[in-house]
Amino acid sequence: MSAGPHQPNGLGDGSDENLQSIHADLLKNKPEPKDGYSVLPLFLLGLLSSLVFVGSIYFVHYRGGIDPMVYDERFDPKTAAKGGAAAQIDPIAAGKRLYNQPGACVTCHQANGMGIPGVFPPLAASEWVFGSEDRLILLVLHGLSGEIKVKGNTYNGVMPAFGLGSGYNWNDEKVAHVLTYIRQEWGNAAAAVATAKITEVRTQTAAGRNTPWTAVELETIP
Amino acid sequence: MASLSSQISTSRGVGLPVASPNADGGSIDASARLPVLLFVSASAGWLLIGTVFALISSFKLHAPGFLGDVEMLTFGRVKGAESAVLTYGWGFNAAFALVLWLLARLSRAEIGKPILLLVAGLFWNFGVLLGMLGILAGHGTSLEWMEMPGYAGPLLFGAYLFIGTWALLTFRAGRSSQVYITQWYLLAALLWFPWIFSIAQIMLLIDPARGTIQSLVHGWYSHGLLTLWFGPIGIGAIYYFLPKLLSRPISNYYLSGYGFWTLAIFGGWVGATRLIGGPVPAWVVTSGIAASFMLAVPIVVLAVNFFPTMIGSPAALRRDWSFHFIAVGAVALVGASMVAMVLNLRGVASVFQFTFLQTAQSNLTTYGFFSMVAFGSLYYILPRVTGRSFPLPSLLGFHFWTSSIGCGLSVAGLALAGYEQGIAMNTLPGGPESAVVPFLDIVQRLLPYLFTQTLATVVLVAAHLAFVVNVGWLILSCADRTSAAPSALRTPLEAAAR
Amino acid sequence: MNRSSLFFLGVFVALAASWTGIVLVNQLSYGQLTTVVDATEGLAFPQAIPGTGQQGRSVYRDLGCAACHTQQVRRPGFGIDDKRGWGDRQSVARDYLLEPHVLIGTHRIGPDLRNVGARKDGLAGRDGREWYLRHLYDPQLTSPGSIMPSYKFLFETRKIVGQPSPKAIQGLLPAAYQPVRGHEIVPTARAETLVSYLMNLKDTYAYPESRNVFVPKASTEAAGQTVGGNQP
Repeated sequence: MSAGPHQPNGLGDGSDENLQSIHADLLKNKPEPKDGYSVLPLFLLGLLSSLVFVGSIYFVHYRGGIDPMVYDERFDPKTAAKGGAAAQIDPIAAGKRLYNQPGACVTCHQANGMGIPGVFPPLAASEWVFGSEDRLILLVLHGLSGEIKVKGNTYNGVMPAFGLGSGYNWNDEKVAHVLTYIRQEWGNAAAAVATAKITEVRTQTAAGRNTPWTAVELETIP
Repeated sequence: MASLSSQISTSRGVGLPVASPNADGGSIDASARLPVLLFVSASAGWLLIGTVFALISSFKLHAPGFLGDVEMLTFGRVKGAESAVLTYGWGFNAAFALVLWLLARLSRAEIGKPILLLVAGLFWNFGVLLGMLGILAGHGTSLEWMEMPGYAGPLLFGAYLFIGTWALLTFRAGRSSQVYITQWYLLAALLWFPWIFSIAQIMLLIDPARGTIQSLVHGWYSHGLLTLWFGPIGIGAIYYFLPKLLSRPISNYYLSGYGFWTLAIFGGWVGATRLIGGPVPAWVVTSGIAASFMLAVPIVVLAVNFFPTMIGSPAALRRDWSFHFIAVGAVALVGASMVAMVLNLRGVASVFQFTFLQTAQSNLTTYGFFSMVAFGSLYYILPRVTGRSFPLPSLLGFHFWTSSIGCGLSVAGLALAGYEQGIAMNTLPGGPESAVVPFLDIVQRLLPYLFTQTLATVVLVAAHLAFVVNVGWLILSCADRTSAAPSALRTPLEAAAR
Repeated sequence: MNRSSLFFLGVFVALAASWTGIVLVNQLSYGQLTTVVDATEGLAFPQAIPGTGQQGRSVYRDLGCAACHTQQVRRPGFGIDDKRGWGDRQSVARDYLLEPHVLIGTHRIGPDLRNVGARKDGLAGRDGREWYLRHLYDPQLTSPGSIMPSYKFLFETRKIVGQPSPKAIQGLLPAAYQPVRGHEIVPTARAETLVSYLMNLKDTYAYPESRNVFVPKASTEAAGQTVGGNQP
């Protein structure tokens, strides 16, 4: 791989000593200034300044209060701490999200609330949904197994538990949201369910229960 | 003068690095011969092993049944082994060879009696071997860039301390009164690595920190390997070889110091960008992204130093294969850094984080930049330390083209894969109310690109075989050892001067 | 101070600054992080996972699962992690407090696994554990077209001695996978513990800091008008 004829330009005999001394000279003796300003150092200075400016603004804007408990960079703990600007949750939207979570209600009862004939009961116009609050709450908290009659049809299956302590481990607020959602969706028009009611039912009416209900048992509850 | 010569003779007796009595590179190269040959041979061997692992893991990505029943080669383990071997086996051995030779040459110091250095090198490679076997046996850590089990760390650290100290002593022993920018970069890298390595080993493996502090340390270390070890060494090499190969000084050299210091100050912070959206305080991530913006300054300085130097040079000098490799490396460095800056923007990261686009950018940095620079540098160094020339120069050309094509194909394929993957996985392509794209559909769409990646890896196997053949043949060939050897040994100017 | 000392000092300070900012400051602030005792439930969160799950974590680590799977949920609005059912809130530091080795991963060649235990529970009519065992034995059984490798080596095909094992899984496998007569396929301890670990991966508790989410001004004024749900 020979290099062919050339003219050496600027590195002398090509030795390392020359490499270093020539570059050191370049540092000490900058080229003669031409007319006006030489562009490059000015450009670099401008770049550095603007980057420092942009970077600082970016940091200040997204610092999240430099709080170790803030994981969302848009959140400012100072403005949020003043009185209840903590998010107002829309129970129906939250309930809808929970309902449609993969693996949750939508898996069996379907997105249109119609279930699967003969397999999973519908929720639309279902007497269990807009009937007794307590029955509905217990059913969701602890699950159901065995036969159940819904809108004249019999279904025989297993519904898992969703409340605290179950595999899903939904807290009372989540259960309240999803029940509020199904009670006003698909033509249903029943009242919303409050979180406090869920807590009351769980801790008093059915304290200690951790096995699924049967329809017969639930029907004994007013 | 008397004290200097007596110092030299004392140091020489002990075998430590000493200032070279000669003005030319000959005795320095001779003194560097054994360590450089050890590290280069080790690096070549690991490169081949690592590329084979890469081929296996790439194949498994589109044909998961391939060697599926071999527990040692399950994807998670073979991927870890590939990364560990290529980083600590190929990358570090090449880096050690480069650092030792460059510091010896620039300080004009001889390396001294190399036996202890050789032992340290063997310990390092033994550590890598132990680490690789440990990963395949299931003791790996599952941490990217730190896959080796905890018992390999101390071996590597001890070996490194020795090698690093030796390199520092070589610098100290030198007589040169001026310090060139390459030496700054190399010295800084030598000082930074033991820090980040030991802290990472302690806080992740020896005495693990609490919760996601581990993630922060891991991000800081893994990014630090690039900006504070491989980056400076590669950059230092480019700063040395460009003027040597092209016989002209670096353009706008006076800016190089600013590039160095801005890289030093901001380079360590960018590690936080690996945790965008992650379970760590948001302000740390923001500071990482801001530092990522600031790295535009060293990138511009490097571009302004390297590109005019390359572009204005005589075409005849640019035909050198070492130059080809280093030029590709310089372009890849600037390109990959700019891509990284874009990928670190939060909006972009929300779509392309965790995808193959990230992998493509990482490959462009580690292979397109560092490995190519290392190849070019080693092809320059080897003839000089051995006093022989390459028996088949066209094989260098073959290596160059296969490496470039393989790297380009791999990066392009993975980038396209990552782009599609990001859009499908992290956005709703059909509009805000549409359904998410099922995950298995995304996987199906990626298969053609993953197959392309395997093809690219096959090309790279050929490239690395060529490298091994080049290195091996040179070392084993019976060419003339005298200083009247052909001009491939020196730059044309050196040859003309003697 | 001569030039080289200045250089070394500069290099040292540059690294020390990033180490302080990224590691040290957080190490100090995390030092105050503890589990949260929830009065309603009378439990401390995060809950420690059972011992089998902890062993399963080692298996997860040893097999390199983090090479393809992440374990960190990003906040709703940043990507679509919530819409994919991977989690309904951003993962916070406290979720990982009790983990000896945090494996949040860097690639999503496979889905995020942080809440996989909550996803697979209660699959109508199916036991979550069995889904995992089939998935590990051959991912094609549960996820056709997946590029996840099979982990048959986590299972043992052995001769039935005396009574068939209650843990045998060949009943879950299709005809092509059945062992020869008189043999059964049993998960090894590694498979069992790995499944236990995966089933315990669920961050369902809402910590106080999970409420530190930015809410645009419009939705605080008109609660009930929101489209979809971008609240915690």
